[in-house]
Amino acid sequence: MRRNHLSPDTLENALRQSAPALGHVDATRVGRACGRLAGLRPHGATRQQPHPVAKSFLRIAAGLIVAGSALLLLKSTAPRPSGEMPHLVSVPYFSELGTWAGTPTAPDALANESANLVSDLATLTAVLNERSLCILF
Amino acid sequence: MRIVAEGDANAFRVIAEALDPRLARFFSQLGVPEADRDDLFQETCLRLYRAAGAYDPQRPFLPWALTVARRVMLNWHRARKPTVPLEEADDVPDRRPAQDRCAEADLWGFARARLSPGDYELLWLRYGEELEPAEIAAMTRRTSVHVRVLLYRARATLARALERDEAAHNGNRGDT
Repeated sequence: MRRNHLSPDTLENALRQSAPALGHVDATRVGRACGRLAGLRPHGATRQQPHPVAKSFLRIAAGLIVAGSALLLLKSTAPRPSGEMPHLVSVPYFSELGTWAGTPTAPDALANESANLVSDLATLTAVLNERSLCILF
Repeated sequence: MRIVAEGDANAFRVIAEALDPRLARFFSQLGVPEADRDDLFQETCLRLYRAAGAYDPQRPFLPWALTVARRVMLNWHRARKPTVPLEEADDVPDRRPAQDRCAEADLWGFARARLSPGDYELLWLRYGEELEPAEIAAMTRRTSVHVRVLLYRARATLARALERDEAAHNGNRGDT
């Protein structure tokens, strides 16, 4: 075999031309292979290809679903003004709470006022705790 | 294949008859002994028949059938892979056919003896079965570019081996 001038084309042609020829059909082998298929059914024989129009409809429906989901997501994540927050003018220091609670010598009016204030502070503290816990959990 | 997919086993006989010489040559070229080719052919036919519903008529049939045949063959190779303890490995005889051990007159035999099985398989699929690189890529689960690169390297290796062989041949002739 002469192997001079081994350009890619030469080699490709040589490979193509020297490929062994196809043999004859072996009827016995084919018969045996087909015999094994008796009683079997192909998988997914009833599967139908979807109609091209149905495909388009499916694509449009999928697009609408995606667009709707995106809109819902945008709506739900948009910043909203906070609703019913308590209006606080001034909040006294919690360290002074003990001194206010322990002033029995004050006149009745002042004592009542003080008691109201203590009650308000307790409520406020509870509300604050609740809100802050809501943020955390 | 559409009729086969509806469960007509007789219609498959025509396909099996068309495939028989193709697959016999395919298995023969890729190192399957004659004794095992019948089993592999039957297994391939069985798989093709069972998967007839999944066949896409828009695509060519032969690459699809060869893909199935190749997987059957790889499973067969895997199942019969001999394992030998390391200390006995030196005593394992070379089981390659005699035609592979010596440089052959025919080009494909020469290529089989010189190239790795993977390179040889790619060359065979491209030039023996006349498949396109994209079809080989789908068959071997590679990209088309990868297949082209591997084919280029396999061709280059084969060309070098042929040139070396030619040079050695000329040298021997010159000595005598």
